[in-house]
Amino acid sequence: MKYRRTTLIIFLAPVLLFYFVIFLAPTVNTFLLSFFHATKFVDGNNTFVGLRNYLELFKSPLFKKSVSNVFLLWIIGGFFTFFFSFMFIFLLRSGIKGKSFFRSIIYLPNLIPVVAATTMWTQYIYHPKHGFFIKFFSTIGLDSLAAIQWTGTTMIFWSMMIAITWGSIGWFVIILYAGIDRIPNELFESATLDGAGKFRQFTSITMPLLRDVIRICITMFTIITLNHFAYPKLFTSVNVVRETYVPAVYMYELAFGMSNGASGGKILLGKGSAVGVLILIIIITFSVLINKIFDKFDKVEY
Amino acid sequence: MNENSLHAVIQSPAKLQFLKGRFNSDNIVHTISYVIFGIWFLFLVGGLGWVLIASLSTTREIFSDTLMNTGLHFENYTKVLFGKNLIRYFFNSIMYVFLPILLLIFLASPASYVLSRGVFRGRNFILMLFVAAMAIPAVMLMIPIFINLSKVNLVNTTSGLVIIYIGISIPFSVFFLTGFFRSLPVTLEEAALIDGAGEVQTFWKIMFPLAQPGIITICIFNFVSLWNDYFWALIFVNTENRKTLMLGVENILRTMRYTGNWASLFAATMVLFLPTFILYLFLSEKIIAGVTAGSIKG
Repeated sequence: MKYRRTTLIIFLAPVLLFYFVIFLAPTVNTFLLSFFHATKFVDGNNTFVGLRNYLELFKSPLFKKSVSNVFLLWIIGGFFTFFFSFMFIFLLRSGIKGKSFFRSIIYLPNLIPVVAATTMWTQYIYHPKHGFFIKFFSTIGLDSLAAIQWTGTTMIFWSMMIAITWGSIGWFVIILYAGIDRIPNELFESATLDGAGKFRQFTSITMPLLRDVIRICITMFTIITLNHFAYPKLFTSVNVVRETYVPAVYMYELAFGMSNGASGGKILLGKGSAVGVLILIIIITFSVLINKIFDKFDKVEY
Repeated sequence: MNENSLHAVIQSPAKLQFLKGRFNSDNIVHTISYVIFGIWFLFLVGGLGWVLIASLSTTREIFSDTLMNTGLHFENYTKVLFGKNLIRYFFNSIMYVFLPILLLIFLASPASYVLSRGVFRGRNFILMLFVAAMAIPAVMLMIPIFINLSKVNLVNTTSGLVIIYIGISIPFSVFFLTGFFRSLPVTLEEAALIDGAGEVQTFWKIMFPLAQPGIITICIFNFVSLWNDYFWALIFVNTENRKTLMLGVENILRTMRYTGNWASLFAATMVLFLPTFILYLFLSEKIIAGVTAGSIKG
């Protein structure tokens, strides 16, 4: 369809304006600001400092900790997220009854507001007095597991990883599931006739044909992981430690000068921006790498 | 088992069927499935159910692990709603969520419509811009947006948060609706144009009503993601009177260490959780469709 120029402008201008104000201009500004020393939101005297903000970040132990945490969430959390996602999908597709019900309860944790989910985990499941884990494990006689202090300093990071994985797995399950639904059924039927079992079909038909969907999921997982903010911040409400630190929380503390935060109460907008730029660079690098790795596999068409 | 009896088993179809049914790999997989999904379901019901029951008990009962000993304490709910001001935060949240969604429909649908079937230079580039925006982390945007809104005095105002919510919802909404408009037939539109209706009029009178299913899906999707937003609200409306429900409950959770007021915390948690849960009970298929439809096409 060809539309008149005025129609195009009337229809597109508002969203492009929003795009400019919320995405384009801020992205450019954050990038520029990361080369400045800036301490005020309005009427600040910004001084150009080159790469100093970045060099300071690379030396900061807190920043390094936040990056290593997010990396652990990516690699270990990612392993469990995809392991369980594929297991759930395999089981959902095994021909059981009530699969749409099971699919909807697997997705449900995604919809629980983070504050509600954190309350459930930290004030009930992990709670050292009336908690579910302590009662459950001591009832079945696993005293070593019952003795674990889930929200203690040594465990809180891993407890958070469990909560995050539980809360995000459903998204990957329904995306991958929808991808499988688009694979023509004849492929599975003829494989069954040839004597291939369910597991063989899963590894030889489903996985290769899902290549692009899996790639999208891994890319999305990377973006979601590097954006983690709510869970790490909220988990500190039961135990104020730096164990759950991630770059987004670090940046928030720099930008708003939290008195007990990373900058000791000072507002450091330039350094905060540098964190944002580094997160974006990591996301882009990972996405490119993921695409490169996936291109190595032959594209399979149906 | 001697050779004869083995022979008999193989010869008798009924017996063979019995053995197959017993050791069929499908049956084993089904059993494992029910067990695993059962555990997941029980955990969900147990966790949320316990919070629900605790929200109707007293703090003393929660502490001494004797839930519901003294009947149902619905006053926990009235206490948090009125005493902790959650009722106000609830209506704040309603406003912060519904205003952007309403405005978003009138901005995103016309844009998606011309992007879906228009032939003009830069069309693919614009579509690509929206897809790229979905990868930009919120922390990359936060500082400049805060600076800009401070300059025009929109920090800690309803309009400020509404602008942000519209902005961050646009990429996915346009992306999703573009796909939806593409699936609609062109004939009706062409007929209207031949009859002399203007392009703008054709869109609002004919195409917009046709796109209703897609628009409803995107509204539900945005409702869920904005209702569950923590990050933007924390930065842009974190004052006593403008807080969202999420921030109100977070405040109770954060001060738990000093107050030890479990009954309030769990009641507040239920107030926060129930709206999305009730929505999900009725609309789970639509919500799941909204999540999958957009992501797969990319």
